[in-house]
Amino acid sequence: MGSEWRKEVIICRCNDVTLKDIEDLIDEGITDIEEIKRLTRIGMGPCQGRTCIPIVIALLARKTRKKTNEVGYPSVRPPIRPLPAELLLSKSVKSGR
Amino acid sequence: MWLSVLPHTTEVVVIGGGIVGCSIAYYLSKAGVDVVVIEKSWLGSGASCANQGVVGPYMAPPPIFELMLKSLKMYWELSRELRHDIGLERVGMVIPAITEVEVQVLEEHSTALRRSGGAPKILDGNELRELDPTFSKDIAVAQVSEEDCMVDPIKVVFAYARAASELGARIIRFTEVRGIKVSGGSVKAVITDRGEVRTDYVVNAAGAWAPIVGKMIGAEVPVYPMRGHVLVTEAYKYSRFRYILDAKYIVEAFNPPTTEDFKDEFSKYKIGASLCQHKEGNWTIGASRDAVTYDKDVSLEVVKLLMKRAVMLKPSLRHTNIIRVFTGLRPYSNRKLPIIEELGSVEGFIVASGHKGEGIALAPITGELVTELITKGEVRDLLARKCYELVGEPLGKVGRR
Repeated sequence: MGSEWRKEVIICRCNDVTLKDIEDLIDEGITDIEEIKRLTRIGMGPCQGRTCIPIVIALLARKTRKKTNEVGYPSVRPPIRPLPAELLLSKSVKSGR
Repeated sequence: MWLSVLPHTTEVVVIGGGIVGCSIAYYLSKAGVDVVVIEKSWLGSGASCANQGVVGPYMAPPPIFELMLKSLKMYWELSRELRHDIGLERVGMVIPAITEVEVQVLEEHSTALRRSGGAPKILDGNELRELDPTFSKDIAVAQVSEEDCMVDPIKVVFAYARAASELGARIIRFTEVRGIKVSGGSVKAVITDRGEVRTDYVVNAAGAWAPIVGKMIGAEVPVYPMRGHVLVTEAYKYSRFRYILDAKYIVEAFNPPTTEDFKDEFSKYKIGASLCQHKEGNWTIGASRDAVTYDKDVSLEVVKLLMKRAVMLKPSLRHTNIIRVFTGLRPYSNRKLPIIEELGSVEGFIVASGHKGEGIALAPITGELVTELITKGEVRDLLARKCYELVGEPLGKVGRR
């Protein structure tokens, strides 16, 4: 049984990251979700990880024999949804903090 | 698998697995020195992952210009020498100026670069807009250069780390340094939350956290954390002209002499635009130097001002969507050049920090200089010595073993 099919399974649709890309990193010893995120750009596309992050967490949990809550979640950054730059330029947005 | 467990003994412990620490580990192991890198979190988790990846000599006044040119040359060698991609790409740079003061700063900057052997071109606003019509009509003058590059900093970190470990270095992540054992006036061991490593040298490459490591031996490391914000847009059709750097950036980052008249709403947070479309299509919009703090919170006020300044240079950015805002902590200091020296009264304690906004650009040369310091007992690199002498700052020391 070959492992060629792993190249065909897309985990992150925003950045075309495959199952093979992720599994190769985990096999190399890169088992931290922040490192995987930075190296593959999972979670950095327009969906900001809504599709791929749960899959990667499950993969990591399985391969490292951890519980999913021990794998952790990559840092969440504002804004929650894509924000039109125009809005930041309007005077009506008050700068609290 | 190249990630290993903490050994009992080594020759050099590098504290900090960012781009500077990993560069040092690479050049040291290449020189046959046994080295252990200890990183408290994941590799590149500090300023190495919170920047725009520019290696742009033409933004920096001499002698940082010369050091960056040398570092850039090293990056080209690394792109052939390392087995993993570092995302090195020649993008060129354009530095636009709008107001009279900005134009004056830019012209003096270009003159200084020419005196140092650089070849920046000066275009007027119309010539610039002929090359790329999306630049603002307000731009009066722009400096254009060709050699400037970008790298993918996290890829550099991992390429260095992987190459170093192939040469025998041990890269230890998620391990925190708790103390440094000193005896008879010299470094003996590093104490971590996972045990102790005996060592002859400690290199403090902890970036913005270098002063905290310094305190472990009672040394004042003159470095402090300077927060910066970066905005990221959605990916758009590739239309990059060059890396765009504000003339104000030169003022805020390098404090040239002609800057008294520079007070405006942006200077409160030392904002100078730093704009680039990355290979992936996303634009990143920097840069502020907005607070001396370890607090990485996002400030809406800074975000709004960054956006405002960005569209003053490139109005089309008004029509983008912002998907992410991040902050990072630069290792700042009041010196002009990075601190690369044996510091304090303890022998074998070497500091490699204080790179400010130039850590990515200057990582290769820093790795080489620290390696010279440890293997030859002094920095022999003539260019570096000249640069440090020129601004009257120390480099090196270590004359034993």
